[in-house]
Amino acid sequence: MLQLAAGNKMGPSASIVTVENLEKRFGHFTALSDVNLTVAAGEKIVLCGPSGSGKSTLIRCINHIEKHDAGRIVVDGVELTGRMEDINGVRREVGMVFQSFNLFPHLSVVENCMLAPMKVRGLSRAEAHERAIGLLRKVRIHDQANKYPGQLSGGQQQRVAIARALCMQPKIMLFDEPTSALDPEMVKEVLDTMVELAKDGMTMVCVTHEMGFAREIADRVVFMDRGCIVEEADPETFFRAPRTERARDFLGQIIH
Amino acid sequence: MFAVLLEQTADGQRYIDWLVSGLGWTLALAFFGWWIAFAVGVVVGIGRTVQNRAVAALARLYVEIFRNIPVLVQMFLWYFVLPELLPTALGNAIKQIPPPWGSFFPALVCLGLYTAARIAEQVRAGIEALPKGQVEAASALGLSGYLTYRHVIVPQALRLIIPSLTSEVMGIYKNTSVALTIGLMELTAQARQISEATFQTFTAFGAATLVYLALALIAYQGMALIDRAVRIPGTGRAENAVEPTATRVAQQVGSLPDAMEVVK
Amino acid sequence: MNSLDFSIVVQAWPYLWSGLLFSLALTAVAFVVGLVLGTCLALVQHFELPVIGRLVRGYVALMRSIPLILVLFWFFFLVPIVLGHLSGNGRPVPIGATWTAFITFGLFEAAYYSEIIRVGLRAVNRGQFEACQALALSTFDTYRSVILPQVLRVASPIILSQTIILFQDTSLVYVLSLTDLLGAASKLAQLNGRLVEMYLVIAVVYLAISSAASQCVASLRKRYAIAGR
Ligand SMILES: Nc1ncnc2c1ncn2[C@@H]1O[C@H](COP(=O)(O)OP(=O)(O)O)[C@@H](O)[C@H]1O
Ligand SMILES: [Mg+2]
Repeated sequence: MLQLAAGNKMGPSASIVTVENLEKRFGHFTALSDVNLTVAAGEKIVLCGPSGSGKSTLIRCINHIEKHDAGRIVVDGVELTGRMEDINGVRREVGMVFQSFNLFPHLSVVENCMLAPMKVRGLSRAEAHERAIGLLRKVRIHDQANKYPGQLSGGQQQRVAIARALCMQPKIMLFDEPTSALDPEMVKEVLDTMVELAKDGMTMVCVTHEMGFAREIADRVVFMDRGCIVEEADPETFFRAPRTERARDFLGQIIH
Repeated sequence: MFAVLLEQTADGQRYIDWLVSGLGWTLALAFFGWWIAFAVGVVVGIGRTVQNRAVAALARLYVEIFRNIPVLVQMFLWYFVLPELLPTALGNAIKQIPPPWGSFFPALVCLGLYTAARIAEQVRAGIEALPKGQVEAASALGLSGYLTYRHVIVPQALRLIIPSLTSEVMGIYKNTSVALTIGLMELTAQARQISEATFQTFTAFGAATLVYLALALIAYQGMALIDRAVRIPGTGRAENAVEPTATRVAQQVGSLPDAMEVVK
Repeated sequence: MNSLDFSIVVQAWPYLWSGLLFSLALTAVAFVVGLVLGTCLALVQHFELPVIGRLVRGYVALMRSIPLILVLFWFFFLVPIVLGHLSGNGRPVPIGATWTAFITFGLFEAAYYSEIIRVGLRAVNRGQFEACQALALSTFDTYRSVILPQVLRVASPIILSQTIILFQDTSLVYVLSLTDLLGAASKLAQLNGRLVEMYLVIAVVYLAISSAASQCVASLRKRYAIAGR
């Protein structure tokens, strides 16, 4: 818990995530090069860019699901090197929501939410259950608490995944295209949940192409292409008057 | 350590000759048994999937019986029990077959029919794993039921199940050793005999083990070769796919003992 | 052809029954030992531990390549020697055919179960591991609470099918002259000469047990097919 204290000392406006000169390679292929990004507490960032531009790789590096090759990543005052204690310390504070939900199919909805708080945070079963039900209520799915993931719709599953991550009481939430695997009619219920979360003050980094969502909550839009951050701006500016040609091309493709 | 194998036996041979003769019986049993098993297995497997209720039920009965009785008990049924149940003259004629053929033929029939039941289940699973559109497309082209099976379903299903047939090939050569219980002097029996004659148990069993390992390797490589030879271009199995380096969880799924689990 | 006389079976039943109990006990012990040990062997291979991983791989390949009868002969010969070395004084410890059978079947089946579980581990979706990482679960908790339960569940029909084969394979202890169901029948057959009746009856017993068990596995498979995905 030392890291926690260190993180708090920096005060509320300190950055939660700092990425400096980040580089990531897969074999000979460079997926990220010279990426710099800071995320302040309470800030909401939308990451966008063409497929394959390295968005997922970047946010997966932030909680060390991918190991970076060069540069620095500091999360909540702890630099991610190879040390497992640091990594797990960081992961505890970072919630992640995947495109493909990745719920545990053999556990009921509420058990999905209780597992990590009990095993990692050391909560008792009763405490974990109470917290899980509370957060499931927040994402409006508490009436399905005893069902299994396979019995839910995609939108419901993704809301459970959000609640599962929130149960760890993370300081920051990472979303990797949380609505891309959903049927159109389910996208809204998930976005609404995310908007609510944003309004509660959660620090968020979202990979998404939902422009309405970006306009509504993003403090900053970060545009990536071919492994680099090409442009950063507030959403109004970015969508109205992108500075770079690549961003214009990209916006042209997703709007039509 | 294997020097003892070159020593003279009481009957003027060398111990290694015993092993070679045992290997011969093992191979003969596995090879001919396999073709019986394959032929019967494909027919029964197809029978499991046809519309005709009576045929399907018969095929199912075959599989149930031959798969659910231990192969050793089946061995005894063919060897001890069958001659007693046949008309006396015929039964006696069977009992008169001179050794080792008197043991070889029952063992051959036993292993062939037992393995056939297992192959039939693989064939059925392979057929059921094919997309429904294949049958629909075939009938849309006006192919008869027979032609659909002959040219569309069976060729695809057999390719699909080659990995699981590998384990059946391995199964049949390992099961040849069960024939020693009815007196066939195959490889394992010879190894035991050498061990008893020389007290060099380690050497005797070690030699047999090495031979079985070599057979396993040959069977495995042979089936892999066949798999590659008959593969339909453009339908490579998953090993060609890009493997994520981040975790060790390969997408590729090897051959499960019950390989159809993989095919889904 | 002599006329069949199944009344002899009624007389023989208590002895056959004790043989059947032995077969079932051997199956049960080999199942438990094999599954626990097999899971460990599968994990060792899954983690690609440097030396021991290769040793385990070799052990599994060896067990799966040679006939069970030869394995039984090997263990019958080796186990007393190994135990002798373990006990220190180096003299072989004769433990008898029964113990040999239990040890052999446990170790032998472990190889088969481990292969099933190893393949199951490889088939687990990568996202499951990533979700565990994202939740900061330790490796131990990841495997114990998330991965292994899924693998065992998905693989349970195959594991059970393998156990039915195991039950049938226990008849091979005949070569150690043990009194399992087949051993009991063959000993009685030698005494009373009614081998036709004896072998037919035990064939039916094996058939009934194995096919009832197969039915259960099949319905289990169907249930999962519906409940899953
Ligand atoms: N595990 C991996 N192995 C090899 N290449 C990868 C791997 N993961 C991602 N890549 C490559 O890195 C690039 C960036 O991928 P990704 O971050 O998933 O892009 P995005 O999320 O923006 O669509 C892509 O070209 C992709 O092919
Ligand atoms: Mg992506």
